[in-house]
Amino acid sequence: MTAYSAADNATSVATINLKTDHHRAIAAGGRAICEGACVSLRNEVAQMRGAVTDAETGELIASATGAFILSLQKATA
Amino acid sequence: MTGTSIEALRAHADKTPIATWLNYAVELQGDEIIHRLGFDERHIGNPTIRALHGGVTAAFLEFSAQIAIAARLKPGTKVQTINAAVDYVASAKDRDLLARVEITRLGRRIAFATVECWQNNETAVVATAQVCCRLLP
Repeated sequence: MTAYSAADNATSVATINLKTDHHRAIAAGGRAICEGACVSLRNEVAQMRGAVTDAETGELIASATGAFILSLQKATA
Repeated sequence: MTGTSIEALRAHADKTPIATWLNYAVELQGDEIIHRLGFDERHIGNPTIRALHGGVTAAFLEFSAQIAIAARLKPGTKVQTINAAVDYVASAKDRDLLARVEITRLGRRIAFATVECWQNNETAVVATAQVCCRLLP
């Protein structure tokens, strides 16, 4: 979703690859917060970083980096 | 054959709710063990093109690796994913996903596996994954 919003003229996003690091388990029923950030956006490729933390303790549950290919709407003249 | 019985694989898979959610099954095709994700409407990520969600593919690849590894270990050994790297080679459509797991190395503390999956044509790979797991007694 963050990759999609990183480019204001993106019409679709497809995942190229995703690497997830698992740090700790979260109890079933627990609340988690996910944050995503765009590291770079170039040649229709968005390089992203994301993390999931435990909403109660703030501890890191998992983090990931991924590359996404964007389809951009052509600018109208 | 990897020296793993299909019964051992099923015993591990039957324990968990994620297997139910994925509609996961293991089967024998010839002498090869094949993991199957039975397609369900809840697996759709993009309704416009009827594609499977990448997270579903990733979860299936990772889960298949965990099951294949667990079946090779003493019962009760915990298999925790350290990390998983998935390459989405092509878009996955609204039908079953089949996967093959190759255990690259089964150590005392760590195991490595490579997983590849396809749909109707075995040579048309949809996604591949490298999974690394910590083994805990």
